[in-house]
This record gives sequence, C-alpha cells and structure tokens, in this order.
Amino acid sequence: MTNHVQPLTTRGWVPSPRAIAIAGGVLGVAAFWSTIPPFTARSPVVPIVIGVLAVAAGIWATTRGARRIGIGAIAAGVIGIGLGVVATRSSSSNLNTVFTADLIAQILAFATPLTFGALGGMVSERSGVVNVGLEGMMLMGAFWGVYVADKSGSWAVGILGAMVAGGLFALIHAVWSIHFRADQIISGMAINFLALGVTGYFFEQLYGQQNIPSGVSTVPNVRLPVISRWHFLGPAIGNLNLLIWVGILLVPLSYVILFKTPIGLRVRACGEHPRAADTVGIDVYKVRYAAVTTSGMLAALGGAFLSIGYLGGSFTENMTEGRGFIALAAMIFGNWRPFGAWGAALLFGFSTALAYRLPVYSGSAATLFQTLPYVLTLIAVAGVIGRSVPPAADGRPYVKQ
Amino acid sequence: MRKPLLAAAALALVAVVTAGSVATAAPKATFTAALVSDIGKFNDKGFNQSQLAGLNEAKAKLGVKTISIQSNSSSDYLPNLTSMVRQGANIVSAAGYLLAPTLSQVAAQFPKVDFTITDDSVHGFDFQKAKEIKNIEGLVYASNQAGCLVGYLAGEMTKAKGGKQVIGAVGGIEIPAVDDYIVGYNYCAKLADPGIKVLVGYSQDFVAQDKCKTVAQNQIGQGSQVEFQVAGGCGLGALNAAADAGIWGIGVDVDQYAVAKNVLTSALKRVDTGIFDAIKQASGGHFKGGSDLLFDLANGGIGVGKISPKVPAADVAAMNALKAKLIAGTVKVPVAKGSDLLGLLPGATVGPTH
Repeated sequence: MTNHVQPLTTRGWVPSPRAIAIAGGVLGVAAFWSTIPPFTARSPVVPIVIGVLAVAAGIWATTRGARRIGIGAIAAGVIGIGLGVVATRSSSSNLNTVFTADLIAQILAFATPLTFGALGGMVSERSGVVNVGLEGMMLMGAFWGVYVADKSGSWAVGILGAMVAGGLFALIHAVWSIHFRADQIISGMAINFLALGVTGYFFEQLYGQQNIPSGVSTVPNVRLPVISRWHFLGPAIGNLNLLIWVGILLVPLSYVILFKTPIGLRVRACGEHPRAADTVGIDVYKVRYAAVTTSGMLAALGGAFLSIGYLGGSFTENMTEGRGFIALAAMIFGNWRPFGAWGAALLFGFSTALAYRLPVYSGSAATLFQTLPYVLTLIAVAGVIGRSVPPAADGRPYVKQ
Repeated sequence: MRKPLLAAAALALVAVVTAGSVATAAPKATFTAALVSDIGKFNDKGFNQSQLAGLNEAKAKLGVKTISIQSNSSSDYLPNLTSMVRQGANIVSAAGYLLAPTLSQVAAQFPKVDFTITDDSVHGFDFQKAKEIKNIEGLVYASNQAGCLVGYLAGEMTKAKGGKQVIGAVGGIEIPAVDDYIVGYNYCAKLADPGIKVLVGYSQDFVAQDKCKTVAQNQIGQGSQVEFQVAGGCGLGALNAAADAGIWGIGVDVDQYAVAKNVLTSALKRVDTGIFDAIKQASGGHFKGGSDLLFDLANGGIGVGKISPKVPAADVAAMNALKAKLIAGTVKVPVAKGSDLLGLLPGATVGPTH
C-alpha cells in the first residue's frame, strides 16, 4: 500500500543565498544572546559554535551572490562570538544586573521618541524635503504637550496640542523650503534654534519660578493582564506606556501607507521625480506641504512622549537633548524605510539603555559609556554600514514650469 | 508663523527691559544683595529655588534691595557675577560650587564686594589657586547628617517590610557635595538595618529627569525598596520612578513631599537660611570673609522634611532619638572623601557610599 508514497526529500530544493545569509545574521545575534539572561550559557563553546555557524552561512551566501547580506552575517557572527565570550567571562551576577526584563522596557522607552522622529523625518524626506528641524518640532511637542495637558486636565488634549504645535512649526519649515525655496538645511536648523528659544521663553513666562505642578494628566500605561504573567517577557512588555505601543503600530502602518497606497506613491513620486509627478497631475507643492506638516506632528508625538508619557508631566529646557538628530540618523541608518528606521531606533535605544547599566563593570567609565549612542550615530551618518540612498529629489526645491 | 516671530520679538524686548533696569538701579545708600543661580535655575523645585526664597526673605525681613539672575549655561557665570557687581550689589551669592572657579576670579577683581558661595569651603580645593579669598564666605552644610536621618528611616522601613533588604541612592555627579548625603544615608541605614545593601548610581546630570529615572529604575530592578534622590532637578525623575514602581522615594535639599507620590521624607539642606544669614551679617557689617559658615542639625541649617503619615510613630521617634544624639555629638556620621566638612565638623571621618 505504501510503496508508491514518495519520501519527502528536499533533494533538488536549494535555499536561496539571501535566506541563508539572513539566517546567518540571526545566528550571529543568537551567539551573543545565548550568553545573557534568561539563557545565560556559561561556557564560551556555545557562542563560538553558534557564531561559527553564522560565519559559515555568511561565507556560503557571499560566494553565491548575496554579497552584502553575507558580509553582514559574517560580521554578526564575529561580533556575536566576541561579545558572547566576553559575557561568559563576566560574573553572572553582573549579567543578571545588566540584562533584565526591564532592559527591554527601557529599550522600547528610549526608542519611542526616536521612532516617532524617524518616521516623521521619513515622511518629509520621501516627499523631497530634508527635515533637520525634527529636534525643534519634537521640543515644541514636548512643551506644548505638557502645557495643554496641564491646562485642559486631559492628556489626550495635551497630545492634540503637541501635534498642533509641531505641525505649525513644520509648516514654517514647509513655507520656507517649498514656497521660498530656501536652503532646507538652514531652514531646519533655524527651526531648531527657534524652538529652543520659544519653548524656553514660554516655559519661563507661563511657569516662571514654579515649574510644572505635580499631578498633570499623563498618558497612561497599557496593562496586559495575561502577557504580564509570561516568563521574562511579561514584566518587560506587560505594562508599557500607550505611546510606546502607538509608536510600534505606526511602523507597519506607515509602511503600508507609504508603499502600498496611492497616497504613498504620490508622496514618493514627489521625492524621486517631482517633474514626472507634476506631469501626471500630482500637485507637488500640496503633497510636500502635507508631508512636512505630518512630519512635524509625528516628531511632536515623540516630544509629548517625553514630557507627558515617560516622565509623568515635566519639562526642562532643551528636554529633547539631541534626540531629533539621533532620529534623523536612525532614518538614514534605516535607509528611509519604516522598518529600517525602527530597527535603528531600537539599536540606539538599546545602546542608551545599556549605557546606564554598564557602570556595574566600571563606575569610573560611566560618562564614557554614555557616549555609546552618539558613537553609533557617527558610524551611521558616516555610512560605514551599507550605503544609504536618499530619495533622488531630497532637498531640492521644486520649481513648477 | 506669527507666533514664533512674536515670541522672538518678545524675547528681545525682555532682554532690553532687564538691561534697562540695570542702568537705572543702585541708588548709593541702600544695601543690595544679589544671587546668581547655577545651571539648575530657579525653577528646579529645589536647590536654586530655595536660595531664591532666602533672598526674598532677606528683602522682606531686612529691607534690603535684592536682585537675582539665572545662568542658562556655565558660560553665563562670569557675565552674571560681574553684572551683579556692576548693578551695585554689596553682597553677591553664588548658588553652588559649580560657580567656584569663576567666583575665585571675580572676587579678586572686586575686593570691596562681599561674596558667598553655597556648598563650598573657601579653604577647599576650588579656592586653592584663588588670588583673594578675603571677601568670600563659604556656606557649608553638614548634609551627611540629613542623609543619615533619612537613611535611618529608610533602613527602618525596609527592615519592617521584609523581603530583599536593598535601598538605593541616585546621585547627580560623584562629588563631595553629593556624596556627603549618600555616605550619611549609607551609614545610618546600616545603623537601623545592619544587613541592608545600598545601591549607588550617578546620572551624570543635574537637569535631565530621564537620566535619573533610568538609574533609579535599574536600582528598583535590583530590588531597591527606597530611592533617595541627590541630583536636584534631575532627581525628580528618580522620585517619579519610585512612584511608578510603588516604592518609597526620598527628596533632597527642600521638602519634596508634594512633588511626587510615595515620598517618604526629604533630606533638608536649608540653603535659604544660609543666604539669609549671610545677607544679614553683611548688611549689619559683620561679614566674615575668608571663613566658612557651617550649617548643621544643631543650628537648624540641616533637617528632615515632612514625613509620610504612613510611617509608624515609633520609627519617627527612633529617628528623633538619633537626631538628638547627632546634635549632642554622641553619634558621629562619616563624610565623603574630599569633603569640605572634614575640617569643619569636629572629629569627622571619611566613610564609604555603599
């Protein structure tokens, strides 16, 4: 009866080099991951074996055409072995201090303003307007978010206020760079300094020497009753701020809008070839105005997360502290794509969170560790890892003929 | 578009108006007292705000004329200190040791003006190279005593609650003015609960709240049941983290009971009293330049803020008993390495932070 049943052999099926290379990259990460809690392999053999597998996969893929990802997999394997062996040498109590479930929550918290900012920057630049004013728009969102939430007594209205403020500031940038065709970098920098002055001035005027009162309505946390009981992951994601989830959900949403809908196609057309877009009847100016304004509103959400989300109703001058610029770097690092930008934001979030935990190894190097995210930014901007390709017409004012 | 332009115009206007009042000020006969903030600024709900309160008290009670100016960055210290002198101030108070290097220059330039510096001794490291310290008075606070009392309370609460015997402290920067608090906290927490572990972290910042929040979160993750903030405005983030996690927070410098939920108490450093006393001395012609004024539990310059009503009366009584011993000198609290208190508090020794 069973004679004619063919065994399910995979003879003839060869996985694509690309898939093998990606698997190699994952193995490289796993090499390091295996040595930290909750797994905590204590023998250096474990990361070395996994890492060697990653390198082998990378070499295999490289020789068969998937060069870029293959080299990435080799690098991931080597770095994974290195970090993994270091981790097995380190005392397990230190490891348990550094790699806790809270680390994941902190990474997400640090990545959230960057995610909003990077997505905002992406929308603007995809339409062809360079937006280095993200920092300023974020700062506006932070201040007006907490001010409106304080005066209205509702965090939801506060978020709305932040978005209006960020959108208005972005509109200034839009008028300058689209209507007046000013240099977009200069206009963006002007936005940053203006925002610093405006928020500083109003903070002083509206709150004076009293600061923001306690008990401002703040964005609530989302408690997930079932998930929060899961091992390790539960405490990490079971009680996150609402805006963190909004940021995460915006990533696929912006991907779909930008790459799968007619609206997204129009935006990208304006960024790649505005003349062609104009020829087929797209109003380039209108699209760019809308994109830049949306960008400011998104960046402002990131700012509002800082003032009325994570920090529970507070503001300090220059609260964003360069996060807008790191968001910009995340966007470039992520190659002007939502998931790439999000990945980069998570990487920056990870390095920031890690910087706070590394002093258990060396207290005196604490300040040095805090430069970690900025060193990463430098690497990203220098374009060492993969060459980023901006939209073709990014930064070029469009002149209708 | 109009709003930011208006704001910019308003900014310019404010600058002109303040500059204008500079010129018209200073009729000769009145005594003028001035205060220059550090970068924490007067709305830090703590250190600077409290000193401004001291200045205002002097205005109300002593009838002196007062002026104050905020420093937005450390490059403002020099222009701010000199502008206070040029506006005719007879005494200029520098709000914190951060201004010390600048003050040591400015004081030599204006020998006829009296200067005070909060949290710093004129005999300390900062003024070693100063040409002239005869017109500077150091206002030094025995903050190790305040740290001790709140640490004792923290130890008692942790012992009573059981579980992991861990508490934490979040400092701004690892400097003696911060570490004096933490050394006292550590020493007296162990008096109350000998097996307790004290975690100490530094945010490297006195302003950005997210940094202190993260440091505190990491300590709470290690089981900390009480978080003591010693980082000014930044430390409000640590109190916020404690409130989020449902554990106790302890305020610093001023009474921060109302600043966040779950505040156990606050370690008070009456920097307002220091400013007031110095102005009172100077306006009465009794300014003692080249020396330090010590503020401690005995003279009320150091204390404990409002204690949460959830703390059992017996614990408060035990803390007050310890306070009496500190005042009497039968219990001595160690100080931080390099602390100005070493030469000022009789019999002070150096102790560890954790």
